[in-house]
Amino acid sequence: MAGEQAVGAPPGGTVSIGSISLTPQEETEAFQPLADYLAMRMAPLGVERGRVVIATTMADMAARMKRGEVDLFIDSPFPALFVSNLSGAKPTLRRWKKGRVEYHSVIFARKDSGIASLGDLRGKVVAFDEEFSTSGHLLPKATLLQQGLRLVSLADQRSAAPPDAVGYVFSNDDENTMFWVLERRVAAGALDNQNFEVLAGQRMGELVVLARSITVPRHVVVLRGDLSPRWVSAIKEILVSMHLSDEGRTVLRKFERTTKFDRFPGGPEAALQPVRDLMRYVDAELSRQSRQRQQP
Amino acid sequence: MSTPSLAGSPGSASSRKRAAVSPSLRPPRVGLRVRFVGAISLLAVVIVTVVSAIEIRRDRQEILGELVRKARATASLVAVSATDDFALLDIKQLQGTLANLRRQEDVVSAYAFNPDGRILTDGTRENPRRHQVLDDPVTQQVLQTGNAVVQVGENLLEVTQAVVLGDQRLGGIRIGYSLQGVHAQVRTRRERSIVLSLVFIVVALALVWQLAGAVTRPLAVMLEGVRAIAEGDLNTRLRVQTGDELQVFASAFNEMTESLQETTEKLTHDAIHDALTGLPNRTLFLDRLQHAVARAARSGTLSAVLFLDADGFKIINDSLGHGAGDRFLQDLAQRLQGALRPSDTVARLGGDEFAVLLEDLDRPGDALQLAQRIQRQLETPFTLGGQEIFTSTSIGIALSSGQSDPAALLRDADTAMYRAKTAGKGRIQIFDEGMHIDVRRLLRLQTDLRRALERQEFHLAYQPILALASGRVVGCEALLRWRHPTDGHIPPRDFIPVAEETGLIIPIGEWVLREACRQMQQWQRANPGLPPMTVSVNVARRQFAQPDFPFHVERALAQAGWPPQQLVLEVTESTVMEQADIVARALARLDALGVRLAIDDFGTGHSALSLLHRFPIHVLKIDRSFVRSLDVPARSGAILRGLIALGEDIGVDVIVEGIETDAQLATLLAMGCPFGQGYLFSPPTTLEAIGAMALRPAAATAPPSNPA
Repeated sequence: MAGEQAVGAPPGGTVSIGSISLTPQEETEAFQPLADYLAMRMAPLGVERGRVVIATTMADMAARMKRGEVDLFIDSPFPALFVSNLSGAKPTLRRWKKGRVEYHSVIFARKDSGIASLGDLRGKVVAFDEEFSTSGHLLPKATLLQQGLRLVSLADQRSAAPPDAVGYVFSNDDENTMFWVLERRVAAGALDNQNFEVLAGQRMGELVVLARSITVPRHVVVLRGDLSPRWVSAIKEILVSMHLSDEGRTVLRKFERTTKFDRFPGGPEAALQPVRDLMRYVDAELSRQSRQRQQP
Repeated sequence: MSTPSLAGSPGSASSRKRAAVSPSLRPPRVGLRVRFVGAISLLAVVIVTVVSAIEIRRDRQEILGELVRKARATASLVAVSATDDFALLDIKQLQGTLANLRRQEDVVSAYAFNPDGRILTDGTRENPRRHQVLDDPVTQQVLQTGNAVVQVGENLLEVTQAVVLGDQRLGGIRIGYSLQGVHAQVRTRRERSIVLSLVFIVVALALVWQLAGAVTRPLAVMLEGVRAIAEGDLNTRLRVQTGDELQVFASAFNEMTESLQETTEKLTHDAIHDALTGLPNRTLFLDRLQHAVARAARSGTLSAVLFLDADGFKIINDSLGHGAGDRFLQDLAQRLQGALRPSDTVARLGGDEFAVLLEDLDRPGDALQLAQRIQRQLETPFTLGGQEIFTSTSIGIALSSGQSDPAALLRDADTAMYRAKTAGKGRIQIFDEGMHIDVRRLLRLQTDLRRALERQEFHLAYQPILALASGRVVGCEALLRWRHPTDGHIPPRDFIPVAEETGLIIPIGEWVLREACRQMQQWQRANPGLPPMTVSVNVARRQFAQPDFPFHVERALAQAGWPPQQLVLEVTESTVMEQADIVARALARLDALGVRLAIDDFGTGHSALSLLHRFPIHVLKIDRSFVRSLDVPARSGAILRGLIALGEDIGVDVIVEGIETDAQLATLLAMGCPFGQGYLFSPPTTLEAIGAMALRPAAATAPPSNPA
């Protein structure tokens, strides 16, 4: 954050990276090396240190960006766009998280559960990840809605779903999602394709894939809307050239095995448009379902 | 504790006689101290090793036990706190919990597993063992029992704890602890223990070394002392001030050494000194003489050896007893020392023989002067047992100028003394070369004399004794003759003194007695016409001194069958005088036998007359000197006449010896002398010749009388 920005920002040269997490410590540990790297590189701009700002919700993050507390926010398309919409921040670069630039969501169940399609999930419970998860929430939710299924949010995994609707709970963790399915705590779960394979591991044979979502960018870097052009260009330049240096690659590896940052080949808007569409669809669909239930 | 040391005479014998020391006294190759320390160190090492091993083992168990308790407690706590997460299958929470566990220093692994034993999470995001089944017996056991089990491996301690909710098995956790910490701790303790042990051993060894040294150092000193003594240095003393048994030992050792030194000195002194007089003995005398001779040769001065013999010693010893004899010798020794210069050496060689070494004499005359001074000193009578004893001393002198061999010099002095004694008592004789010849001759004579009896070279001659008035033969004097196989006839005056000196006189005398009796008996039996004859046999002084002499006489008479009354034993005046007591006993015994006794050479001695009433005398033989004197002065005739009258008065037969002329015979007849013998009648001859003479018709000058 540059010296001329004032509102809510700490004085002096600090560059702040924001992330949404329910486990702030773990998250900070993952982000701090990148923050430090950025700060060091941005020293010519008067930056002295890098900071990690953890928000617990997308709204919170949006507010913080709006207040200028967070200069850049890196997350999957759903929260990235959500925060961007609320705060005016701008999706700028792609992040190759764990070597993947794109991914999609997988809805799966135990093979021996008798569930063969999404329709079989009526009266059952599905585990999503977190509310702001693209692959663990937005994409599977959209997929289920597109199948004409009614979704009901449940308090926890032990709650029962209405017989005509699919109940869903947040497991808050991909691993929880996988084990809940495997251990029959829930009927089905949703994970991104990459985690699905990793977490199923040797028990893949016990599982059956019910559906796959559309493919979306893996991670997006969102820059605060009112950031000075010097900062914007500096941050962009630093991030996209990180993987070219040894030092940069080391920091990338520590940052959740990121391969590199790069520019959207067709520009950010084009790449993120399907996600925006899905978000709008989900909102619309959920509103419609809500209205239907109020006027039976 | 002071350092022990050795006190010895400077330049002690150790270097001198090193080679003579017994090999057993050399210091041992492996000393007591080294052995002692070696044994103790071995023991210390063994004890410390065993104790350390036990200690280390106990330490390990203790440390391990601590870890086990910690592991159990942790597992138990985690199991309880994670019950909800297990119930809700909140892998993320479990992962966080286990991740926190894994942050603990010695935790190397942590697993949460479901009731099938499948691994849910290992506390990492990657969770590489996800879904793997823990199908080991421990997992099964834990899931079955709902308890916890601890397994201890080589490098890993694992606690497996069941997670239960009521009676429901929710799964379990397994925490792996590295034993590196335990190992490290054990290692540290072991190292510390080893260091402590080493320090202990080193300190103990130093102490033992010191202690052993406290024993072995004095021992070394003692050994050195013993060696010094073995080498003959008796001045050695041990200085050990350790204040313990060693010091007591050293003191005892020193006392022993002192005692040994005293004994040795006394033995050494005794070996070279005469016990009775305290004078040097022959050995020491010869040693000093050797040095003196060497000095004399170097300096050109003169030394002399005086050989002394107290003339009266045998008489004193025999008559007054050995105690008096010893006192006499002690007095004599004292007087001798008084007569000499301090630088002169007086020694007792044995018996009554003394020797004096005179050094640094200017001329031979000095030796003579000193000898005379000695004689004067000894002239003063000795008082022994209340009696005054007069004695004289015979002295032989040998001068170093003529002889360089000390033993030979002493022998020469001895020879000179012998010559002096032979020449008469109280004489001084200086050795000359001629004496050698005499001595050689004497030696040969002694040897031949010894063999003469065996080879029957002796025979007897007889001289008749006549009754002067009738001219009849009344008896014979038996006289010993020696016919030497090469030298021919040897006169009695030459060999009788030698026989007396050597003691051969005793067997020879016995032979004479036996032979005379035997021959006389044979002769009388062969000539029945002869009247009973007497036979006179001379008895030497030493013969008389034999305690069993009367027994020999008795036996000779018995063997021959000769009547005692016809045997006359002739003894000299001096024989009777010098051994009065012994002679008195012998004479009394012989008188009782009936044997007759004659005093030979009567009138030549000092106290002839006193004999006559002290002893049972039957015959007086008047010395031939009285007869010879008849030819000149009238005064001797008076004495002779007196002696004859005396014999007649006291009832003793008087025989005059050495009658050679008719004039002498006439005078004697006029004096009324009853018996006589001499060349006038017959020289010593055979019994046959005497028999012929006796049976011849008497041509006597006076009527015969019976001498028996």
